Order: sequence, then structure tokens, then C-alpha cells
Amino acid sequence: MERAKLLFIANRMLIVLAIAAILGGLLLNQWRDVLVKAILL
Amino acid sequence: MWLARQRSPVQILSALALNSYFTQRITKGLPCPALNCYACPAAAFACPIGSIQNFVEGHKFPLYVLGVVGLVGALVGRGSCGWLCPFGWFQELVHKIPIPKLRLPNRFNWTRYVILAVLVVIIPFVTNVPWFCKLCPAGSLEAGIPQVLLYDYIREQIGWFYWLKIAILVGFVAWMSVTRRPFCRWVCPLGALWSPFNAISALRLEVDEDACTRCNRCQEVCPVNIRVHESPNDGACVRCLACARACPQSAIAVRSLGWSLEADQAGTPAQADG
Repeated sequence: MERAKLLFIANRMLIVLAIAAILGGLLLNQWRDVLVKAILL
Repeated sequence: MWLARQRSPVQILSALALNSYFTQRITKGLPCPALNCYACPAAAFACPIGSIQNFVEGHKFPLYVLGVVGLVGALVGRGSCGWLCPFGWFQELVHKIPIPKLRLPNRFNWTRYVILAVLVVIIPFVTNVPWFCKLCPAGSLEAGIPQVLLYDYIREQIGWFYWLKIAILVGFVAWMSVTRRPFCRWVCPLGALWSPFNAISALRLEVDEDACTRCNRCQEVCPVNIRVHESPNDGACVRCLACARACPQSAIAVRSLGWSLEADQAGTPAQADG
């Protein structure tokens, strides 16, 4: 498989992985940890 | 190049948007795509590095913050450093001071990875104290100084550690006045997180090997001293596009994986290389 195609696939996998991590973090209510710390500061 | 000319206005707008104050009650739970201290009285978003330390201190995995950092990295690599980071912009402004300049090689620029590992992960995990934030010159500039100017009760608490933070900031200001973007190159842990993404990000630089004459003009204008014609997607690149603007042969192009970004030299849309 040519390099450009591999890069394209790896990039799209990374985007999907990152979105999954954000959704996972939101499910674990991690946004609240960020917000609470930010407000405390 | 049209895109490269938009960088200064974008940097100004970004600094204002990240410190827009009025939205902070709603948006401070969102990590911003730049090193912007969330203790700044006007900060509208959370600093990703401060947030990561917050999770590490609590012995939790920062899934949410790393997801945001990963998404930005996958899309633009270190593009945020060159286009959105207020402290990156501040370094560029200070570097305009007309004094003799010093070009430093990239020999020790792995130190940012050491700082990421030691000050952002290991020490906060062990001590439960966000040590990078305590020493961060961006924090001193955006939060330490304004907080002291604004609030009497904070002014009364000033001790030797505050003056140490100010001394670190002054040291960096002196360094950035003679060398371009020293904090980005040797210190920034957020830059260290994004560096590996440059090789795989959707936004990328491509060099036309046939047009390139190896004149080295790209390296001369590069703020992070990269030999762009040899390594256009180097981990240190902040995607400022100064090389693309300066290239006399127009041999450096901005491309995206799968998305067409702008017309190429012949005026036809850039080929999607996916």
C-alpha cells in the first residue's frame, strides 16, 4: 500500500480514537474535574 | 500564499477569544487548543497542561483532555502553536525588539519531552502538586501578574516563590528577544504532546523536490530552525507557513489528507492525497 494511503488511514483512525476518548471522558464526567479546578483557580 | 497571510489576525483573534471572560462560566470546562493559563482572570477555557496535571494529581487518567489534545493534533499537528497559542504569539512579538539575534541549533530540543514527563506527569503524580503550572512563565504572565494587580488579598501573600516565577518569566523574555520561540522549542509540554502528530496530521507541508533548489531560504525564515526541504513535517514545526511564503520557487505547499485546502500554483485545486 502506498505511503499516502497509509497516512490517510492512520490519520482517520487517530481522529476516531480521539473522539472516542472525548466521549469516554464525558461519560466519566471528567469535564467536571476540569471545570471545578478552573473555577477554584 | 493567502492562508499564510491570515496568521497574524488569527493570532490576535485567538488571544482575545481564549481570554474573552464573559463565556468562562460556560466554557471553562473545555480544554483550549493552546497553552493559556486558566488562572488568568479573563481566561474562557482550561489549559490542557493544567488540566492533565489536575487529573494526574488525583491519580486519574486524563481521557477527556488527551482526547481533545489528540483531536487537535490529528487535524493540524502543532498548527495550534503557530496560529492559536497566545504565548507563542507573545514570543513572536518580543522577538521583534531590535537587538542582535542568536540562532540556536535544535540539538537539545528533546528537553520538552523531559519536562512533559517530569514536571507534568511524574512529580505531580508523586507530590499532588501541579509543578509545571507553578513554574510556567505563561502562567506568570497571564495569571500571576494580573492577579496581583487586581486583588489585594493576593498581593498580601506575595513571597519569595512569586519573585522566582517572575525571574523565570524575565529570563524567558530575555531569551525570546534574542532567539525565536525558545519556549516552544525547548520547554513547552503541550508542544511535546503535539510534536509526534505532525508526521500524521491532516494538515501537512509538502515539498516539490523537482522545484526545490536547496537554497535553504526556508530554514533561514523558520522560527524553529527546521531544514524544511529535508523534513517538512518535522515534530518541531509550528505550521506558521513562513517557509511557504519565503520559498522563491514556491516549492512548499500546504496539503491536507483527504481535504482540499487551497488552489495549487497552477490554480487548480490541490489533489487530495488520500
